[in-house]
Amino acid sequence: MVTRHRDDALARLAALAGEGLTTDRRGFLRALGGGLLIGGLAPLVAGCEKNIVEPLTGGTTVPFITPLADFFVQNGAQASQATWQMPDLDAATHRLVVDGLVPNPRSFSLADLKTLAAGHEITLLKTLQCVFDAPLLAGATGLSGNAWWTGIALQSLIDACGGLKPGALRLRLHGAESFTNNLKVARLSAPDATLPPPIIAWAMNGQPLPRAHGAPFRLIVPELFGFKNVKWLARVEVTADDHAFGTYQDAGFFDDGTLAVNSRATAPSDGARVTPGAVRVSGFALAGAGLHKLEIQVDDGPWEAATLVGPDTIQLEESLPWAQFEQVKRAATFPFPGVWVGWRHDWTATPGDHRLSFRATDALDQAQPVRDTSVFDGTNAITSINVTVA
Amino acid sequence: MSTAPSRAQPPDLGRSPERGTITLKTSYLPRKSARLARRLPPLLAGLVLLGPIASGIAPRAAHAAAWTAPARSIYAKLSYSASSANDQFGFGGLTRPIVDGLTDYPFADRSLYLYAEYGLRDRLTLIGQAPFKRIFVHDRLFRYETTGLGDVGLGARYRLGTRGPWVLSAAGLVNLPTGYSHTSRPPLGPGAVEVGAGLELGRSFYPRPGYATAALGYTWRSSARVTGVTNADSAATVNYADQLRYALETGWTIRQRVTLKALVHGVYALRSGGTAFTITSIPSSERYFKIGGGAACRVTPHVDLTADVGTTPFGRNTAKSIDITLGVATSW
Repeated sequence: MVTRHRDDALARLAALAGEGLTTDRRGFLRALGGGLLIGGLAPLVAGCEKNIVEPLTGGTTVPFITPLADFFVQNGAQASQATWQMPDLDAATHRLVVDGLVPNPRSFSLADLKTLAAGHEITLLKTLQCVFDAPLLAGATGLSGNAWWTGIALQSLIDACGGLKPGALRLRLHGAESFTNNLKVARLSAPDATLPPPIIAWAMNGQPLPRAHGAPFRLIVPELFGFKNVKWLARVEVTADDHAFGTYQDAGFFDDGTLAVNSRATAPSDGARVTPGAVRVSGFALAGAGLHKLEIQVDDGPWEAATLVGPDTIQLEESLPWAQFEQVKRAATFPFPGVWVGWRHDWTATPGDHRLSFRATDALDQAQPVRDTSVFDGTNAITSINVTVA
Repeated sequence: MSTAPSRAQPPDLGRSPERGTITLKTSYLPRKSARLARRLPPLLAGLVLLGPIASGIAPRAAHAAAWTAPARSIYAKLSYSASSANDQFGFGGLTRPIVDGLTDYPFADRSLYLYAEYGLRDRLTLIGQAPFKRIFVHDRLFRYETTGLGDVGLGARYRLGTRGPWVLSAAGLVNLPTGYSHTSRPPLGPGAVEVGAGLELGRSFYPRPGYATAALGYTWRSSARVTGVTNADSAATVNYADQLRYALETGWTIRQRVTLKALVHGVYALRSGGTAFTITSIPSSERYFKIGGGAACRVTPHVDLTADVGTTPFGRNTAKSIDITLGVATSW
């Protein structure tokens, strides 16, 4: 009787609960168990993760001048604008407006700039490096590339507008695709006589500036990160506002923009396997203040200085209009600020697994740190690669 | 990866390419039509739809499903999905090579997916899935391979009501990371928790052997801390963008054995920009529109073989992939 009453009660409950109520606890528990099984086993199976990173080449030697076809392309506004499109500006009609705290605001076409620069054209070396760059990011040189740029000093445009009005503190730089940045007016001239001034560049490696690199003209500031070198320049606004104006500044990146001392190895590749004996280790190093030295450490051994590739060696390997470079004209000391330099080191490799570490120091005696405390001023901690010698 | 996205990269790292499609069951007709369903071509009751919308069950694959499973019924499916890409969509939607000069599919995802449903009640279906990811990517200098368990999904679909041939359901699902490493290149997932919910509308064309479904949903995505590869202290928090998911699908059964289907589906991130798609990281936001079709063949009363193919004609910050999925499903 108890069983019958119980069954009746269950049936009434089923009716009250409406359509589909099942008294099948087994089914419910089965479903619950299935869910728990998936969730419970997951952490165990997670230990089965495997990750392989294998170099496809033994490494590469990086030329001093990066060919245009290999030059990285990075667009600062692209990450923040869903509708971003690369500008395709007509060199004949696009104009650079210079206004704000200048007596005679005016606009300049490419032809105007070249006319204004007649006899005073500036050609300089400058390594563009994205503030996002990091070793092993993408390819041998990642988001870094070295080129020679030709244009006119930005100061010349300001002079053509009558100079600066009193109170002028910064230049607000506007790209045609809404990317912005700023430059302090004090930087219009060089902080020292050997450092080239900022220029409005229309040529790259002797060729007209490619569209992807800011055609018809862009800003080039020798010692600063790429985000300070505004592409597709459309307006230079002189202002008394000392605010750190700019697209990247709004995202938290540092306003100063000076290239942090950094380095990387391009040969051998991380994870490479080499034979015992003499192994040529090479790469490049860069600093906004100019590079002083590059050191290599094998495992936990002492730091040894690498050989920097000098201009004579570069000239043998690459044909460059060396005498035209502004740095040479200003008797700057090589390595030049804001220009990378190759380095080489002959390592006597012994069998086993080894870690090679690289540390650059700039002319201000600032060395790459062991740890990167902030990613908003460039990634420049000491880097390492692992090499197997067998 | 995809994706992506992924590696600590302060804003700019990131990517989540299409990781392949998941073919999910469809099959269950409204209870009022149960008697009619018994007279339908068997395959109509075992249609394979891509399903549940907005649930993230199929990562990046939001497909339509509206009917719930009959009580105490079980459906399970094992799929092999091959997703390959030479090109990617940039932030602005323009197409460019994933790696300049490479046309040998530098992005390839060859993953296995296990999916299951259980009819807890006629109105309520429990859903679970687990992928075993196999991702192979390369550039000109390195080859990267990551394999392992990806995000696990647990969810449910509840039938809100029916009216004649129409059915309306609500679905929800939680996608959980399974402890995979964030320093792997590419990673097995974004490392974020995803919670999705949405509505699914279905229509049966009985007595004609056809159906159509539509779905719309919202997925909330948490942020995740991603550590650097060369410097473990260089960690960054990636804020993944919430998403709208949508899908339209229609199918037709031939000779009571083969069902052909066509579908469009996509994901729309509610915030653009952020970390970019690369072959070794997952982007924080992406948008894509996919079209495709497939076929399901009933080989036994309880076993279907399925094949689906899709392509990505439009997108932002994601891979322009071609996706092929083969599966075997069983129900009882």
